[in-house]
Amino acid sequence: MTEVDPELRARFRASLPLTDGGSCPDAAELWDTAAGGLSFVRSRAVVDHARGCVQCSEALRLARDVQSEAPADASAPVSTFRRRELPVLVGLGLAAAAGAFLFLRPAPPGTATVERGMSSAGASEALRALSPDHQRADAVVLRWAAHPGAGSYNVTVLTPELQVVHRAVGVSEAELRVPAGALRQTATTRELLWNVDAVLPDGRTVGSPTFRLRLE
Amino acid sequence: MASRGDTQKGDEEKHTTVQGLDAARLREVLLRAVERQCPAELAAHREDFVQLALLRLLDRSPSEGSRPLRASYLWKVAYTVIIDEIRRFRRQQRQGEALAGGDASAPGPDVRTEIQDCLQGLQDRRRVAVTLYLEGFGTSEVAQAMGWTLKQAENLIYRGVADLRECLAGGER
Repeated sequence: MTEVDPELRARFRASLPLTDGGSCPDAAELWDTAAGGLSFVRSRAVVDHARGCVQCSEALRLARDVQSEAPADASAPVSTFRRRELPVLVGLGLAAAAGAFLFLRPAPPGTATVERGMSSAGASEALRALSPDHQRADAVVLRWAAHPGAGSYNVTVLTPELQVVHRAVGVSEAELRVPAGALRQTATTRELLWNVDAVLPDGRTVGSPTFRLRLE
Repeated sequence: MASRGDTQKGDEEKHTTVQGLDAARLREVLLRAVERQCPAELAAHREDFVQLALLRLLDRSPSEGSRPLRASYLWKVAYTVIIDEIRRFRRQQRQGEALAGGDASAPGPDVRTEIQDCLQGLQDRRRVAVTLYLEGFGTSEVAQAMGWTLKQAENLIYRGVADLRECLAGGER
């Protein structure tokens, strides 16, 4: 096998031109190329583009790096066609026809769906934060715009490292005072993240975006 | 303030998962990859890029529903957010340089034409194999990316690199 040639690689990288980024493939396509999720023709087009674009060359290497360190199930192609799986796809097509009936049945009662970021009525009714985004660490009160028809709310407070520090379930009003004790364990944290889910009478849940909160 | 129901202390449910994914692991891998592959001015912002990617995973879009998502999807989302952020950062950088009178789209050195011309002249599959090899892909990674067997990938890289060297040597004579 050809040995890794650092000089050739360095020369190649030095040759990569900057582009204006106008015709670059989507990031998702670069990921799929590295993961083997595209047809040969499409992969070739992406690789040929990366050969003439320093940004996409870098993005392709990033995809390779991330996939090589990700758990095995994380680097598998997600939704695109894999060349080696064509015979399997034919069988799956038949199975899919049989499974379609089951899939298209209405969801059983009690199955909750989360719509994070906006309500089913549209973005205008999205849950938004009303409390200040700077607060004293010993008196954190979170407030949000009440969602029409919501019976209660579930609130999650996290550190920037996404460690849950407090969770309140079944809050009846659009407000929550975070117990000081919950924040003691994150005494050094100067920032928190929080989001809220409005629970509707039919069991569906409408989620807010994630808000930032600076602690003073 | 009125709150009813169960209010739980964080340490009862302390975890570091995003949509069931090990966030610490994801964060660590993303940070390392950006640091390794991006130039210093971008790598300096890696914390911001990765933080945005993790936030994006928390803010799953409405169409994604509440079903647990596959790890492969979540890693891909994190990656795409980072690439989009890097692209946005670069666009702003270019605009800043253009305003300052610099030429941000200047091509690289003369050697660019030579190695690029040689690559362009390679047979299709060899060109793709060699390009991925030069990007840093190993043989098995080239094979996986292109749907080739290990032997095919090895052969295409070997022959492609030989062709490239021959072409470059010809140009240097």
